[in-house]
Amino acid sequence: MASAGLEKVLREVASLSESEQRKLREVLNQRLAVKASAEDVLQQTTMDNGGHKPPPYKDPIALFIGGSDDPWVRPTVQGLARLVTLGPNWDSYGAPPIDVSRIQAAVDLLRAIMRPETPAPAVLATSSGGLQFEWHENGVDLEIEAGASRDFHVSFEDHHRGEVWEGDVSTDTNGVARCIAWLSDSNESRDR
Amino acid sequence: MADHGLNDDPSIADSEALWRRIPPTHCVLDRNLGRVRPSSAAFENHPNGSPMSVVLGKEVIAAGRDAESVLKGHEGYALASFSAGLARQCGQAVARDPLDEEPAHALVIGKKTGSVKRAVLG
Repeated sequence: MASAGLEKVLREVASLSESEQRKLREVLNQRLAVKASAEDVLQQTTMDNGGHKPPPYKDPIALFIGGSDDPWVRPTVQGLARLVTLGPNWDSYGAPPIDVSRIQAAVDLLRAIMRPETPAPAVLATSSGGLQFEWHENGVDLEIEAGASRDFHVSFEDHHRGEVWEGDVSTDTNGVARCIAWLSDSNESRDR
Repeated sequence: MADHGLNDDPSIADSEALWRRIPPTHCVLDRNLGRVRPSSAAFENHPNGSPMSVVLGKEVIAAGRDAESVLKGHEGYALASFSAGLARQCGQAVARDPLDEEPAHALVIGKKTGSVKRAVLG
């Protein structure tokens, strides 16, 4: 049986008109021939849902993230797939399933700010039905929490530079993009 | 400071340990520290707005139980511990809230900003 979160995604996709669904399938075919692929997510969600096989458009999360084979994409998609399978009370404190609209908003943000060399984030659910990306490496701690209404709360600490920043982000993503740049630069320096 | 009509209970000493269950989905690898630890996301109020649940470690022990008893029925979970004094330093109140199924249940009351959640991590 599909989790409530997955069912919600599938309902949303199913509610689209035929032309919209056709467009989504085209997006899948054209842009998601990526290595983070739809098949990985499908396999994961199928396993997590007792073998239930989603409909033919099949990869609702990948619909949101497609278009890149950067190294961070694959583990991020897998992390998102795990979130969708979480049912009610997944934390034992009454947390609801993850709100799919927040996943889409968070992925849109990632697509705007991530660099090819940026390490993949840890992908976590929050007790309010949102999600959070975290990086704790290269002397940097960065957390991005996706709240309601496409707002994000960001906390950043660079232990090498002594930089600390915390704030809310909505349309202006320059601040969080700068945090990602520092994290990515640190990663690149280490790899050289 | 306090909300939901609950006030800080001074009979809970600053040194007392507050225990909170951590679901496996809230454990992250911190490469800066070189170990797995709870995410800040694990220290949040209830989705309905009521305060964050904890268990008073001292009362669990006094009842002849051990820490593992708090995790009974929650396979794969971890138990995080922080002091009541640390919670108060972060502007939170701590109050008893015994439940039938958990007499040592308590609440950490107050808004959980990002800095509060990270401070609890120590």
